[in-house]
This record gives sequence, structure tokens and C-alpha cells, in this order.
Amino acid sequence: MSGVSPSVASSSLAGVGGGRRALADRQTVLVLSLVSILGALVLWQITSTLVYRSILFPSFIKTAGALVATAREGLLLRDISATLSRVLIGFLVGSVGGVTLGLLMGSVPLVRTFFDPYLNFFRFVTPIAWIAPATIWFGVGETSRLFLVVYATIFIILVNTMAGVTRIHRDRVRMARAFGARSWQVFVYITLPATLPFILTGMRIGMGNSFMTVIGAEMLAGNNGLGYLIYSSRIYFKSDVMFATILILGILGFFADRVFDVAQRRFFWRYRAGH
Amino acid sequence: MSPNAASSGVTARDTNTRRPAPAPRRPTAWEHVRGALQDGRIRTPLIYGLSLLAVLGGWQFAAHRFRLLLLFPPPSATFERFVALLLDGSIEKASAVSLLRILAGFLVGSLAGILLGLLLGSSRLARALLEPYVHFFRFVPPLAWFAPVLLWFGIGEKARILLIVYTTVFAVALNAMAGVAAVSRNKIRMARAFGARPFQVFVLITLPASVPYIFTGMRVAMGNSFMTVVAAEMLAAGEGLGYLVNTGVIFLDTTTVFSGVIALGILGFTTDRVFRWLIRRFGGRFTAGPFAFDQ
Repeated sequence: MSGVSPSVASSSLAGVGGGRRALADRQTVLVLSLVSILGALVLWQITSTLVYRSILFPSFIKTAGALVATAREGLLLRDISATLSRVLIGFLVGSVGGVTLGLLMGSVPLVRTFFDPYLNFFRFVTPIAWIAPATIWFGVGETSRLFLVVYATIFIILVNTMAGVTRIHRDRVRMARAFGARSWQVFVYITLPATLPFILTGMRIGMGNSFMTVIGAEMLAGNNGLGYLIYSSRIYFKSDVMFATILILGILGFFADRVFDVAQRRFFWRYRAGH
Repeated sequence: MSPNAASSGVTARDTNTRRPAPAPRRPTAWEHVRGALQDGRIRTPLIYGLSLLAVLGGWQFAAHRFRLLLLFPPPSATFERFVALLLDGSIEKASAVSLLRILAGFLVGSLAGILLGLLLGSSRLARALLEPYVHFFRFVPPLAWFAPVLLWFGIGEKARILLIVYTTVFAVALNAMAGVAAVSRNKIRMARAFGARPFQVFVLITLPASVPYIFTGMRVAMGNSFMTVVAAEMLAAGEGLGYLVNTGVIFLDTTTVFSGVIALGILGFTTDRVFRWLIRRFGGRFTAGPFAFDQ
């Protein structure tokens, strides 16, 4: 469904260069970013208290207050853990499935051709659409929501893994063969490590997709989770709770992405040569 | 020619004896079949056909065997319903409504994303000031904005289109930014050496080199827009593919649900092909590095 080339995924462009100048540059960027964030928060506060006063546009302080209040009630923690566990379980199942199928389809042309039509059909059906069949099949419950997250994860990882396997340098495989490696050794020592960066790219995008999907699933068919918290706040016009939840979603997504960023840098550094 | 016939011809020439070359043996029927099977142009469609036959046949059989006609209708019933919905025009109408929504939001979002991305890529100051926001908002799922947008703008077309603009803008901006950053230094140096001013470097070098990246971002954004529009239509709309699927759930009409899903798959596939073609067409001139997704 979605794709970013590996180079695009490593997003922080600041601080390219070397030595002391890079350090000074990085500090300047950091200071500027902090100033920008503080400025925006102040602007938000002023706009919402002086210019556009409305219950529909809560100020920053009110949002922060709602954040603390919801956290005190224990609602926030419950909803965060509900959403995160859904994302994590669905993502893990989807990753294992996607990597396994991707390696299989990448390595065996017959299997690839056999499943190609389905892959190319299902990966273009948006995950949210499956909430309808899922609720008919599994009812409005945890299984439906997990099904959606697995669905949102599996295809992007599968496609990436497959692309990684089919894109391995022929010469590497030939070299391993010439040194007497057997098929499984080629797979373990050449194919698997060379595919790793592609798998990680797929997982990173899959993680973003699962966040997107889980929010939709919780809004459409949920009784807890951050998506449900946002959507149910609408009924009581609790716009400050909505904004607090949005803040949390942004922060959670950012950190989930950071994990993959670090992992990717590590592995890209080692296996860059082949690409 | 079957591979056997080819190899026998080679041996005859190589041995270079006085004996006349043995008359080429007529390939047997089996060899014909085997040769055809090794030809990708015949082999691939054949496997596709077998695969479709196996899966659709298995589905049809399982649906009848386990009497899941309501929960898991067989392909025949689904196909019948799909054709019926096509003939009475409801799929076309729903698709047109959904596509128009996507298109309106997508165009605005792409334009904003391209401008934002080029700005962020070209100016260090802009990047330092705005990058934190891009990185914050791109992790807030578009659907999380559904509730606030509904409060601000009401349940209307404006709300749904705004959500698609939001879905599009960050994916496009990030890719455009990466495109600017990935322009080869030597190209810029060359243009400078030939006396190009910064403006000319931007228009003649940076912009065309970013085009493949921008298209990649738009391709990603298009996929995500489908997700947003379907969810938005399921939650609050009177027409569109999301609404069509949702009515199927309410009346427990699984064939309609499946028909909607099939229509979504076809639309998603087609729009993705269009972008793939655009990337191939315009990516040739300024190669954009490895795409993991041009499968």
C-alpha cells in the first residue's frame, strides 16, 4: 500500500558533515527547533485564549490539564496499553507471517507466481475496509481489531522482503557457491542478511500503518483504546481530551519509528555495499 | 525449438566429422509441452490460471461444504452480486464519489506537500524551524483528526476532504525533502561551474531530480488516502464505497461487503499502476535510487 525508499526513511537531514562545524550546526538546529516548538505552544495558547475562544479549540494549558486529569483517572494508561498491545500483537503476527511468506515467495519462483495475483489484489484493499467482513466473521471484539492490524502489517512486509530477496547481487551468491556453500548456507549467510534492511523498511512502514489502522478500528468497533477515547470524547464535546490524545499518538508514533530508525542505521551500515 | 533439438545441432558442428549431421529429430509432443512450460510467456499465465482455479474452486467448495453461505458466500454468489451492483450503477456511483473525494484532497495535499518539502529541503532555517512539526504530525494517524474535524466543520464534505489533505501532505513533503537532499552534489557543482545562479540550479537541477521522489510520496499518500476515505465514509457519510460496505454489514449482506472490497482492490490497484508508470516514465532521467516497492 505504501512505500518509502530506504534513503527516504532516514529522515533527519541535519548535521551532515564532519568535525566541529557539524557539532555547532547541530546545536544551532537544536536551539532553533526548541525555539520553534516553544513559540508554537505560546502562539497556540494566545490564539485560543485571546483570539479564537471556543470550547472547540482548547488552549495548550487546558489540553495539558486534560492530559493530567485523564492520566489520574487511570483512563489514559488503560487506553494507551490497550492500543499499544493491539499494535504490538498484530504487528508481531503480521511481521512473522510477512517475513516468512516473503522469504518463501522470494526464493521459490513457482510459489511467487502462484500467489502473485492475490498479493497484488489484497495489498491494495485498504485495511479499514476489512472491518466490515471482520465484524461479520468475528463479531465486534478483540479478534476483529487484531485481524485488521495483522492485515495492515503483513503485505507491506511481505512485498519488501520479497523485493529484498529478488534483489540480491548475483555475484554474491555465485561467490558463496564457488567457495562451496550449500543452498541453505547461501540462504542463511547471504540471502537473510542482505534482506534484513528491506525487512526493516517494511516493518517500519508496517508499524505506521498499524497505528493508522488501529485508530480506525477502535473508532468503528471498539470499547477502549486511544481511537475510542478520541471518538467518545466527541459525544461529550471534550475537545481538550481529544487534543491530549492526539499529542500522545504523535509522541508514541514518533518513538516507535525511532526504534526502527536506529535498527535500520545499524544494519544499513553493514549491508550498504550491495545496494 | 525445443532445447533438445538445439543441443544436438551444436554437437554436430563441434565434432566436425565427415559423417553427415544426423537429421534433426522431430520433437515429441511431450518435448513440445516441456519447451512451452519453460517459456515465461506461457508459464506465468498458466500458473496464474491454475492458481485462480484452485483458490476460487476451493472457496466455492468450502462455502458449500461447510454451509457458510451467509458468513462466507461462495465466489459465484459474490460475482453475481458484484455484477448486479455494477449493472444498477451503485458501484460506479460509489466509486466516483470516493474517488472525487480522494482527488480533491489529494491534489491540494500534494501541492502543499511539494511546496513544504522543497522549502524544507532547500532551506536549513526552515528545516530547523518546521521539521519538529512534520515529524510530530506525520505520526498522528489521519483518523485521529476525525473527531476534532467533525466538531469544527460538521459532518460534511469539507471534513472528509480536509482529512485527505492531511493524509497526503506529510508523506509528499517528506519525500520531496528527501529528493532535494539526495540531489547529487556533482550535478550542482557542474551547474555552478557553468555559471548557473541559485535560482537556475533549483529550477534546472533540484526540481527535476526531486520529481521521482515526489511521485513516490504521492503514491504512498494515495494508498493512505483510500484508508482515510473509507473509514470516514463508514463513520459518517451517505454515499461512497465505505458507505456501501457499511450498509452490507448493517443488513448482514456479505456479498455486498465483498463486492465493495473487490471494487476497492481494483481501484487501489489501478491508481497504484498509474503512479508506478509515472515513476518509471520520469524516474529514468534522474534515477531516484533503489525503490523497494516497484514490484
